Amino acid sequence: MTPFPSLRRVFRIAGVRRDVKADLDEELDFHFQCTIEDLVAQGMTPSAAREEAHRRFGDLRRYRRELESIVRKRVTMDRLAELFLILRQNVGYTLRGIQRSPGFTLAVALTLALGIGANATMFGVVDRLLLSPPAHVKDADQVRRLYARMHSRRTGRSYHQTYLSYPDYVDWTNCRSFESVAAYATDEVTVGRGLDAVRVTGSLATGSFFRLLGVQPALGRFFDESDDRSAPDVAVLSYGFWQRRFGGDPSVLGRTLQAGPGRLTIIGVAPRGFTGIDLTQVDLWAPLHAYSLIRESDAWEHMRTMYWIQIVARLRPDAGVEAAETEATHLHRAGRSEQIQQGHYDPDVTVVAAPIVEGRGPNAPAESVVSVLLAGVSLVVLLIACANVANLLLARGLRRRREIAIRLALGISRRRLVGQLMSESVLLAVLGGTAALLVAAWGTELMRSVFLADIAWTESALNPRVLAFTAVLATVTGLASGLVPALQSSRPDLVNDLKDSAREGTVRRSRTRAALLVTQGTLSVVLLIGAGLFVRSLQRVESIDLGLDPEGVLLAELELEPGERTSEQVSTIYDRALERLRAVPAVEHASASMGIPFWSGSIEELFVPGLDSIPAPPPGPWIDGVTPGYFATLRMSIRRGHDFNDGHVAGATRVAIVNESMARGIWGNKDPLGECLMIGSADAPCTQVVGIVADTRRQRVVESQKWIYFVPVAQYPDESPAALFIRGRIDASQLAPVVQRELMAGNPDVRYAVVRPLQDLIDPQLRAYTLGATMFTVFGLLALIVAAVGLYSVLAFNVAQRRHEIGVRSALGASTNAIVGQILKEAVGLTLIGLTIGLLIALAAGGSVGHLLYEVSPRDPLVLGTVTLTLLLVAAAAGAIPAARAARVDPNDALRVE
Amino acid sequence: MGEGELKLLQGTLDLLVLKALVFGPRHGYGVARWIRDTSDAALQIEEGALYTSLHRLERRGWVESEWGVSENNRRAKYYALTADGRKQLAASTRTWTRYAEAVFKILGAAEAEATA
Repeated sequence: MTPFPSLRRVFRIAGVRRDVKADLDEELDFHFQCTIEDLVAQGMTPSAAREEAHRRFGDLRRYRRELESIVRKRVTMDRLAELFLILRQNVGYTLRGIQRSPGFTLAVALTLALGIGANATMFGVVDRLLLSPPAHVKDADQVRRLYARMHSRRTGRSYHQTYLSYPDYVDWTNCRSFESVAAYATDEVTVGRGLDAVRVTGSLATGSFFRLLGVQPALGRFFDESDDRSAPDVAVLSYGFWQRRFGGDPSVLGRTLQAGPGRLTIIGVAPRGFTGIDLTQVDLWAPLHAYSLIRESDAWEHMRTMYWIQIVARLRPDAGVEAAETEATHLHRAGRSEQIQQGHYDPDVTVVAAPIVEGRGPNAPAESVVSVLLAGVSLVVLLIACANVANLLLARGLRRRREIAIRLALGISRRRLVGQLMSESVLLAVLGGTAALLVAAWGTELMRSVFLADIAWTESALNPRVLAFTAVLATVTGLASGLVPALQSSRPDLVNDLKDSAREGTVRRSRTRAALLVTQGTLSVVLLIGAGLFVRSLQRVESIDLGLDPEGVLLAELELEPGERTSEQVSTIYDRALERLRAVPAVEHASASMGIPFWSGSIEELFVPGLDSIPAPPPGPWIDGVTPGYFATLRMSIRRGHDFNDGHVAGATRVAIVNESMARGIWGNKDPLGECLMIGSADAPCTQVVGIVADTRRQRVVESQKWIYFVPVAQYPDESPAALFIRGRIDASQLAPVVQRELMAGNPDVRYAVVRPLQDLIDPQLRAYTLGATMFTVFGLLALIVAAVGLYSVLAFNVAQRRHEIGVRSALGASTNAIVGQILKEAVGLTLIGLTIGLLIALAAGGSVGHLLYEVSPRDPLVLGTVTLTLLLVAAAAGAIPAARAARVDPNDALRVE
Repeated sequence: MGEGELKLLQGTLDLLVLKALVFGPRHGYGVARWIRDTSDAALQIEEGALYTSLHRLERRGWVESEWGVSENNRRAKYYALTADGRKQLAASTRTWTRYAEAVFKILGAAEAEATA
């Protein structure tokens, strides 16, 4: 095709990319010189010849410009064509390679799929929890969450108060650094009545809320300050709730909705995906002053001791965060001055204006913290996968040394060769990345449904951000794992490689590969130790003796029809409910109480004759009013004395049951039975201790032991039960609907009964531990498998490469044991190095996860020991097959290969 | 100069340049001289236009260039026809010949009518 093939080649290999301008200049110079010389030869004077040459040429500057642009276009096209050609060649080369060794391709793609998939999963989670601002919020950087940073005299530590009072919000509406301020409170609420009712999440918000966030309604309008002030009986539905409950019917506007005790008129629908500034699902919003309708009182407007709202502010564009914090602090201290003077509030309180994303603020939820940790862990898994792939590629590069040597000898440039080898690993990474999407889809599903079920996941698992992340990660991974093998393969010892058969020369390259194996081992050890620590924590947390048995217990709360009732009337409603429940055959025990374990409780002033003060652990001895049978229902064992009975009514002898810690704390070794408690004031009548009950956890699974005492709710002045506990003879989930129907049917006082397993109150407290333990274990095992496969493949490869050597040794009389021993020694040796480094890292880094663990030392010997043993076993297992193969090498076969 | 004129001129010029290369590779000056000598300097072509033509043909892939050494021992850029260029030359020659024949026919007819 080309008339000058040799010239072209010389030109290209010389690689002279001459400047376009210089080229043109030289060409035109040549033209003018020739013309002038010819003309002079015809007898012209040099100057006349020059003039004539220019005349013949025409406008030099114009032509020069035209030529330049033509040449530039051509050069660009040429380069593109060349690139395309190389790309096509590389892809073709890679595809042929894949066809030749599908097993290798599968191993690499799978390894990368797991590594990249794990990262894509964690990116999706971290993106939602920490990176992306809440949906539909305009200029989210300017919106800040306000916290009061205080010092606890009790614990000696400072903490950030998330929930504040309504007057605090009012104080900050005068803050000049804020464009606007809003407050909200989220709680569960019953919508509808009777058996058709549903429990939804409702958020009460100030009229400024939607405007502050800059969100636009999908339908109708949002409420504003005037609604909040004068007509707070309106509601805005979330998009999801509108779809679920009303099928997306636009005529829903103007309809009314029974929400709790109030009737609200629907005025608007929020856009899809809007959940306020928190990430949890919200079903409807109502003005904050609707709270007065629910409470039938507006006392909350002035109560500074009622900590129930969260406050957000939008900074003025010109206001700095620090200046805003200073001003807000000033206003807060001024607003709280009375309490500060009385010593009830920290005088040094400061206001913190934290980012809108809760996970980035001072009170980051445990899920956020654990997720970030897990994202780091998944990155480590990817590193291991990369090391593994690099190792596989290196091994293959060795196997292909002759091919590569021949190609180099035939004149392929190193750059081209590296390009080919790199494009191979990038293509493998693309395969891996595609498969990773499957892993991510599955992993995300798992994370969302099992561990992060409360978060409103508005986007699909494979949203554009996750896809982009995966694409970038796959490319980087391909380049990272391919670079070293490609560079090494392209720098072979030409003469020796061509001379040798593909058999020898494993030793030369093994240092890089050994380093990669050691790295894998190290990282696996770190992850496995992490997994072990979290699993032990979870075990410890789960094995905490709660003192009561929540399993199989249902908690029922009654929502009563609005109206004035005395506590006796309410008590009667509960008594009747208990009667009906106890008549159900599937119900073993039913009882009622004022407080709910792990949820709510009360503290009363308490006096004991002979004691100046009660040495109870703060915040003081908890009191609960319960019905007879309460302890049996929750399986709290009565150590001494007896349970309450139906005779312990108002007016009868006042009785109490105290828990063991309290009994020990107050009376020591003395028998508490028959002792006196004065509840509420020092001159209250004596309440006689009639029993001692086992210690239980009160609010949290992990807490210091509290002092708790119980009195019959009937003897508790002006109080009535607030919750029912039912222990069934059948599964709780089957019993729940029965209980609910029993509580609501034919009971005109009860608008709705919320029935749920008591365990539901406890599980969220364990979630961070469960998440950490499960995910660390998954990732740790993943890492271990990948590392084991890596070790196995390298050893197997070594044995295959050294068949000849092994054959010679066995022919010379080496025992099978010696041969096997050598292979195993190699496996275990590398593992031991990795193990040692891994242990050192784990010991050094242990402190940084200490706060996420429960009663497990980061240097827990059991965990360290188990991991060490596991790793050595796995290394031996990975070495076993290659070793067995080495033992079977027949000297005759091996020597005959040549 | 109107656009139609330029196109005709450019097409014709390209044809002449291709023809100049049919006997073997030449540098730009060689092409210019060959056209000048062959046409007895009858065609008034600016040599600059020859160069733009050469480069344009190269961009289309009808001509390729290499640096070589000229008869007077200087570095010069040589142009050679590619296979595509040869095909193009043949096709253009046919088209141009047909076109010229048609023009001549018409001119000839006009003469005949006038004399009749």
